[in-house]
Amino acid sequence: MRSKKNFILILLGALAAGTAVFFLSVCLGPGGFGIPPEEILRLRLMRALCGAGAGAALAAAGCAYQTVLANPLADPYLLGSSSGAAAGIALLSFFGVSRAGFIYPLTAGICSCLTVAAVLKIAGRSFSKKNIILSGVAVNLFLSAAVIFLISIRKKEFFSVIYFMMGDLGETRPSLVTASLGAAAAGSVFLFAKSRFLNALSTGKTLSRQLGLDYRKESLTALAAASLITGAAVSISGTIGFIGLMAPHIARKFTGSDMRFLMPAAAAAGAVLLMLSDFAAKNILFPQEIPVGVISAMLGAPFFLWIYRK
Amino acid sequence: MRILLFLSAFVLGSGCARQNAQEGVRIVSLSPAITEIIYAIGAEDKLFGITNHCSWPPEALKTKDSVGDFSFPSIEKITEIQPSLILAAGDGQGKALSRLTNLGYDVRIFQPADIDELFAQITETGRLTGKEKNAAQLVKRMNREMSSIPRIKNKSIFIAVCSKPLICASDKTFLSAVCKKIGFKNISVFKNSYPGVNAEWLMLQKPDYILLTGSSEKEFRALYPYIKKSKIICPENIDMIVRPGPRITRGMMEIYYLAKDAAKKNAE
Repeated sequence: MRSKKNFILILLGALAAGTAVFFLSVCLGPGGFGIPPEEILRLRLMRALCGAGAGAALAAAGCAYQTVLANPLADPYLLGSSSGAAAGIALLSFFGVSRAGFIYPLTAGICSCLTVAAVLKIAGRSFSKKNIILSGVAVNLFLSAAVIFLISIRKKEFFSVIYFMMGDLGETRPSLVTASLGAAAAGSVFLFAKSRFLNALSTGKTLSRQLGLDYRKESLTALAAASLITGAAVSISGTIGFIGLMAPHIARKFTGSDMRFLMPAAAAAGAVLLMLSDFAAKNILFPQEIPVGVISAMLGAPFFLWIYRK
Repeated sequence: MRILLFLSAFVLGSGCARQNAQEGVRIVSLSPAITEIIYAIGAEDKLFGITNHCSWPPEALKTKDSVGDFSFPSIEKITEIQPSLILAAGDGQGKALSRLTNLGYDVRIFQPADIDELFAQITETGRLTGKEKNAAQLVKRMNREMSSIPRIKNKSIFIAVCSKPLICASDKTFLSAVCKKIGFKNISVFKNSYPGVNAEWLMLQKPDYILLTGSSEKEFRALYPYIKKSKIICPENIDMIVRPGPRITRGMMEIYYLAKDAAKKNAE
């Protein structure tokens, strides 16, 4: 009964924080605070929606990666999952596939899954924290080089792809935004439904087996869902680092490790972090824009070092 | 004795001829615009290397050796050509140019800020290649063509070099100078040449025209459906507009007529 009350309180708190920042992103601009004219309102709404959705998705994926791999440093960006998705998207752009519907989030999700599988294979059976991160960095570098190679062949996409690799929440095509956010939401709900397994896993592999869970199957399913969510997020936001690392750690401070509470709180924290980063990216040098990935990396890299030293 | 004198004169003569040939200008062009200028003044026999992007005139790519990419040319290939002069665009070529300068090559950067500087550079290219007369004629012809282009009055323009992310050509670019010459006022006044800008700002600025050089009108309209009032200019041949070369007057003419067409379409 008590836990249910806590759950509702945390959910309400997370929702309130998310809504407040969403409202701020929409109403606060260079011209001051207030409801902007209709056309600007639509533009800001779309951008805030992309930020909230992508941030929440990256945070949910980060939660799953950190729990399944028992690695507090795991994050879609550091694991190479985001770079895999970006490489898939660069490939579609290279072949001139139109940016509409499910093709982008689906391809990005599949490429993200394949990348995580490769990183884990390279890291070896031990799944040691350092091995996984180092393999992720190596695969990241390889994929970034592959993307640069692709744009070197077709110079037309140069600016778009370079900015995409640094994060860009300016997506305004409704069909792509709907498909990506829909896929990310479905994946996040699926992961939330796996809370029982993820909780058992955080207490140890043996206990989860004693509880009668198929450890291998459940782990792979959770990793695949996290990667598909990452792919969906990347297809509208580009490669944005560290949100999936910071949000679960911040949320854990309030909720503890129970995934039933942690997952929604981390999603809200991810949404808030990304919306705030984007707010800074578009307003610091207004009317010039800084890629949002630059802001998130400036926040996230010191955070990563802090977690690493702990 | 006479035979000996004849033989030595022959050997010395051929030696001198070879020396004269070595002294001839051997140019490598690292800019499509410079390649166009060299062909336009009839100095193509002095041109020994071009980039993969030098697509005009079409025979250039067929007949001249390629040194590779615009930003990352093959230094090995350039060394093999043994140029006496390397002409480059500057922007985006920094690393390659500093390497070539360190290797002792005579590297000159032709990066005109406006039409007057372009004319000065055409004249300089003529001087370097011994085609001063042709260069002067080309400048005269371009001046004549330019004066025949009508001017647009009191209209603002936004030059989008990339639609997503939204990147513009600021007032520091040659493209902006070209638009200014036609009569447009570029709304993008920034320190950087090609900054990324906020779509919200563009909507607030409400420019009369948007010149697209990196995407189609359909693509731009799909990305920014809320920008309705600005008229779109989307030239078919972008190279004529973005390259500071001899075809720029034709490009300016195209911008002018496309602007007129867009205004007419909007009025209907």
